[in-house]
Amino acid sequence: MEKTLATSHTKRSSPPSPSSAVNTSSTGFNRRTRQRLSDATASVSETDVEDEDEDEEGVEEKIEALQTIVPGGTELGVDALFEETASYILALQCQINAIKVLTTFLERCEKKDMKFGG
Amino acid sequence: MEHQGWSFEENYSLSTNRRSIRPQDELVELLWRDGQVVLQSQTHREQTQTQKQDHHEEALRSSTFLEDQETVSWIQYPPDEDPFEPDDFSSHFFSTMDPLQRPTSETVKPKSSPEPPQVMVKPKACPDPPPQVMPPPKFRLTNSSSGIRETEMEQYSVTTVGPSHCGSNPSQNDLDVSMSHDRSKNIEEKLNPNASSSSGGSSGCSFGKDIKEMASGRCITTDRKRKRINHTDESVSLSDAIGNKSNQRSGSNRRSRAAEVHNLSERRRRDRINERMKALQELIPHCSKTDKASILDEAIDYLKSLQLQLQVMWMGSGMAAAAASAPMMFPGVQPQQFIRQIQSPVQLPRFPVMDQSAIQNNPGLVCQNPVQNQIISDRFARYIGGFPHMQAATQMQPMEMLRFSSPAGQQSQQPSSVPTKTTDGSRLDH
Repeated sequence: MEKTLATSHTKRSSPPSPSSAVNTSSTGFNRRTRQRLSDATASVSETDVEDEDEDEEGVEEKIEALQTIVPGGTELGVDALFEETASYILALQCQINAIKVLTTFLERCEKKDMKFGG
Repeated sequence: MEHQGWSFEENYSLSTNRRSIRPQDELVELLWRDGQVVLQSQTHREQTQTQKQDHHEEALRSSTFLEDQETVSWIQYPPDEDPFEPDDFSSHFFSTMDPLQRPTSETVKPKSSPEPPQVMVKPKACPDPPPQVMPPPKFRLTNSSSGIRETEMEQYSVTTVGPSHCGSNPSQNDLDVSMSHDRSKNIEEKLNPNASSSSGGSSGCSFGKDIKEMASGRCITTDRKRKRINHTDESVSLSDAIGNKSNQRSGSNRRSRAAEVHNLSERRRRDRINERMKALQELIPHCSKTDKASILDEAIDYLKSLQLQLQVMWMGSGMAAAAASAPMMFPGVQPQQFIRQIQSPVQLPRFPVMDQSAIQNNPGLVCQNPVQNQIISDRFARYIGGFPHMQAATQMQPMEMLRFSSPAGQQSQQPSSVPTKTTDGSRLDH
């Protein structure tokens, strides 16, 4: 992922430089919006750019899924969300272990009670 | 002259030996004889010519006389003027010519004695040159040391200048080199403040631009919402640049500083995210992939599976608790009533199941079965407090792994509860 991120950075760094150098901020902003519209219409097709966009969209979708699963995840950022997921996983594991122990103990109690009752 | 001196020394040694042997009477005789000899010197010479034995006696007497005169001269008349006075004195007391000739030889000897001290003075002059020679090499050594220090300083300056030139070019392309570039800037400032200010400003402009571009790209990769925030930041930076056109140096410095701070904050954030991703990877079992997307997918699946396991376990624990509590509450009831009461707990677990499925929370159980929940909570607290129970919990982890790996295990849990009911029914029937 680091290598792919580096390549994406290098590729993206080249387009904005001429716009900033040639024109002012307002015109640059307009051109950027136009470029996005063109991408949305799919008039300009670039496989590399599409692949990168798909990867990023996948990651974002997965982050949203985690936010829905983890309690209180929608209001958190990426860092906090990862922390909450880790702590939530640990809590669930502890609960499962505790319930297993309780079930085994209760089953033994039932057996003893039946013996005395019978 | 020299020969006479040597002979005198030899005679002196011999005379000393003889005197030690002879008694005082001989001394008195000698003095008396000396007086006689002085008065009768001519007679002695005539006798010596005639007899050989007289020669030996004359030699002895002459030696003694010389010694006495030398002692007198040393004590009374050391300088050169003395020889004149003793001559007059001797002329008054002694009429003969022999004593005149002898004092001349005595005067020559003291002249030879002062010569050795003069010779000693010469070696004193010899040690003078060595101390004079020592200081010049010391001064030369100091000069050489200062020269070496100067050369070292020159080498240091050369080495410092080299990496600055080398680092300036690649820094524009890569961020990793930025650290060395910053260090080179610091070194230049320390050595030459004027040159460093101009070069630092020019390099800062290009460096700042590159950093901003890279920062914007990375932010976009993380989240779309943050893209808007980045755009606002860029607009602010542009306005700052326009306002500071008059002061290019101050503006360039501020831009470089802001860019550095921004880069540091982003690096910290990335490091945190990477650490959390690694932690999640370790928590999730059977996760060997390294991509962020795959890690997130596996985390989501694992969370869902854990939630399902919890629901199943709560259902099982509820049924067991109900079954266990029934006989405890009604120990002494008749068999018919016992059978009816057994049917009632069969209906009880349905209610908590519905509550869990609808709300997926614990308060449902608490509302309907407060007693059972209290019992469970008390036992739970006891187990948590006990140390051996913790060990049991740790041992149970591998079981969890096996159940997660095999979905059949989960299915087996449900039928396991059913046979217990059947066994209970059969026993009651008997």
